Amino acid sequence: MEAVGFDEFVVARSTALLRTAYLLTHDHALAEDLLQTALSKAWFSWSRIDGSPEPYVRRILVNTYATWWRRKWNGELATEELPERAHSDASDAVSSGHDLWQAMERLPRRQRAVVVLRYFEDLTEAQTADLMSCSVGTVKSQLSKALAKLRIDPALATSDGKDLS
Amino acid sequence: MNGLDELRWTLDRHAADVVDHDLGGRLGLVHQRVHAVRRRRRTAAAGAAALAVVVAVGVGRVTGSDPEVEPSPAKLGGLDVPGSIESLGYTYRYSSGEVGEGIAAVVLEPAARPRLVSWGKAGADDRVTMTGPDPDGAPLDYDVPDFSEFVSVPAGIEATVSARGDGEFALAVYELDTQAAPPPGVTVDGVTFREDVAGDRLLDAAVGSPGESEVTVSGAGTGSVSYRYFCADAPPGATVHLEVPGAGAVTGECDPVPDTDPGAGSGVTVEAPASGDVGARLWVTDGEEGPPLVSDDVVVALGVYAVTPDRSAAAGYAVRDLVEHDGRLWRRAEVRASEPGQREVVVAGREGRLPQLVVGFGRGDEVSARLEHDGSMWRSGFVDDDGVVVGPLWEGDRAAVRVLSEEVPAAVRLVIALYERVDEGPVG
Repeated sequence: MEAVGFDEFVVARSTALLRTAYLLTHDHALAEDLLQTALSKAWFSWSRIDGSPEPYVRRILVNTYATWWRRKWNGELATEELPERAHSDASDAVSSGHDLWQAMERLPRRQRAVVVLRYFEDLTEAQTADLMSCSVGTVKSQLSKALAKLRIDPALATSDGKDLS
Repeated sequence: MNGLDELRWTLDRHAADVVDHDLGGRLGLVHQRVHAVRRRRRTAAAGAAALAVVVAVGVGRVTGSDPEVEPSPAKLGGLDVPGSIESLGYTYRYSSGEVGEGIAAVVLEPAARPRLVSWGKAGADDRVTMTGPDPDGAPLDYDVPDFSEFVSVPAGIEATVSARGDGEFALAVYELDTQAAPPPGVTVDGVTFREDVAGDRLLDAAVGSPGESEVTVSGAGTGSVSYRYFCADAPPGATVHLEVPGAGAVTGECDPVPDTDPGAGSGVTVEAPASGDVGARLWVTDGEEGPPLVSDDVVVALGVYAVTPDRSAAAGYAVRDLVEHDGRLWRRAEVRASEPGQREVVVAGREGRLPQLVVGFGRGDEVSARLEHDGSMWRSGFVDDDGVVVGPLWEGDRAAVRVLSEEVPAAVRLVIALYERVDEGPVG
C-alpha cells in the first residue's frame, strides 16, 4: 500500500528537513542518512498522521538523532577529530561564527537539538518539549546548560562581552 | 551583535549553505529502505513458521543468547562445512545453519559478540546472491560457493542475511569464539586491542573490569596517534569522556554492548606532542556534567595506536598501504587521480570473483563518492582528504568521486584508491 501524499511530501519538504538534520549532525552524509531514516520510519505510519505531517516527521528526525548509537564501521579511515582549542579573534564575525559552530559540535545531542529547535526553528519551549517528548522544564534546563557550555567553551573564550543568555 | 543573535546567525548561515544534491534520488532511496524493512519484517515473521517445513525456502532465526556454540555438523545440505573461520586473527566457530533451495535466510537478533555468515553451494552454477546485513546494501553476487567467503555482522545489531541461487545451498552462522586464542595484543574479558590494525601499532591499552568507570593509558609516541575506545553496559544518561592532555577532550554516549575489537573502530586522532607523552584518560559520568558513574555493569576500554606512516602520495593525498573493512585486510592495488580542475574520477569494476575495495579522497564539503549497481546508486557519502572507505566494487558496477558544486576549483584533485584482499579462507 502506497502512502498517499508521502512522495509529494518528500519532494516538497525534505530539503527543509535536510537543513535541520545538518544542523543537528554537522555532517552532510550523516544528515542525509538521518533524514532518510526518519522518512522511512514515517512512511509506516503515514496513513495515521492527523494534520500536517511535517511536525510528525520532524519529531522522528530529532528523536532518532538524539538516540542514535555511535556508529562503527570497521576499517573506516576517517576519524573523529579532537576539537581544536585555538582561540580566534572575536571581533571577526565570520571567525567567531565558525567558533560557535565548532562549539556546538561539543554539545550533547539533546542540548544541540534544543538549541536548533529554539533558535533555528523558532519553536516555543512548549512546542520544543512536545516535539522532543519531554517536559518544558527539561527543555529549559537543557537549553540553560547548552548556553552555559557555549559561553565557557574554549573556542569562544575570547568572546568577552557576548551574552548567550 | 549579541550572543543569541550570533547563535541564530550561525545556524541560519550553515543551514543556508546546505545544497540538496540528493533530492532527486532521495525518494527512491527512502522507498528502498522501506522495502528493505518490510522484507525484513516479512522474513522474520515467516521464520518462526517456516523452520519446521523448510523445503524450498530456508529461514532461520538466531538469537543473541545462544549459551553454547554448537559443534560443526560437518555436513549441511550435503555440503562440507568448516568448523571455524578466521577473520583478522579472530576465530569464529560454527553456530547454526540453514538449508534452502532457491532462497535461504537467517535472521540474526542482536548479540553480544560479532558473527559471520558464510555459504556453500553444490551444482554447476556457483552464483550466490547475498543481501545484508546493511539494509541499504545492494545484492552482492558471489561466484564463490565453498564457505570461503563471509559477510560480517557486528555485535549489538539485528540483521537479516539472505542468499539466492539456483538449486540447494546452505547458510552457516559463526560466532566469535572467545575460548580460542585471540590475535596478538592486549586481551581482557573477551575484549582485544590488537597489536597491529592495518599497520597501526598498539602503544598501550586498558580494559576496565565491570564497574570500573575510568581507565588510563600511557606511553610514548611520535607522529599521528589514534585513541580507540568504548563504553558499554551503562545506564541511560551515562556520558563517556576522553581527555588527551594538551589536545582536548570529547564526550559521547555509551554503546549497547562491549566492542570485542575496539582497535578496528574509528577513533580520535591527534598529533603526538613534542614530549612524546601520549597518555590519556577515559571516564564515564552520570549525566553530561554529573559525578563519576557508579554502576556494577559499566565497561570501559581505551587503547592508543601509533598510526602507520606507510602511505603513498597521490595527487596530494597520503594513501594508506593497508586498510581493514568488513572483517578483512586489504592492500592497495591501484590509484586513479583526477587532473587539476577535473570534475570526477570514475572506475568500473574489474572482472573477477571478488570485489575490490574503493577508498575515496577529496577536499571540500561537496565532494561525493558513490557506488552504482545495475545503473542505480546504492551507496553514497562524502569523502575527505584522509580517505573514506566507500565500499566493495564488483564487476559490472561503477564507483565515482565527484565534485557536486557548480564550479570546480582549478586546484581540486580527486582520488580513487582500489584495494585487493590480503586474507581469506577457512581454517577448520
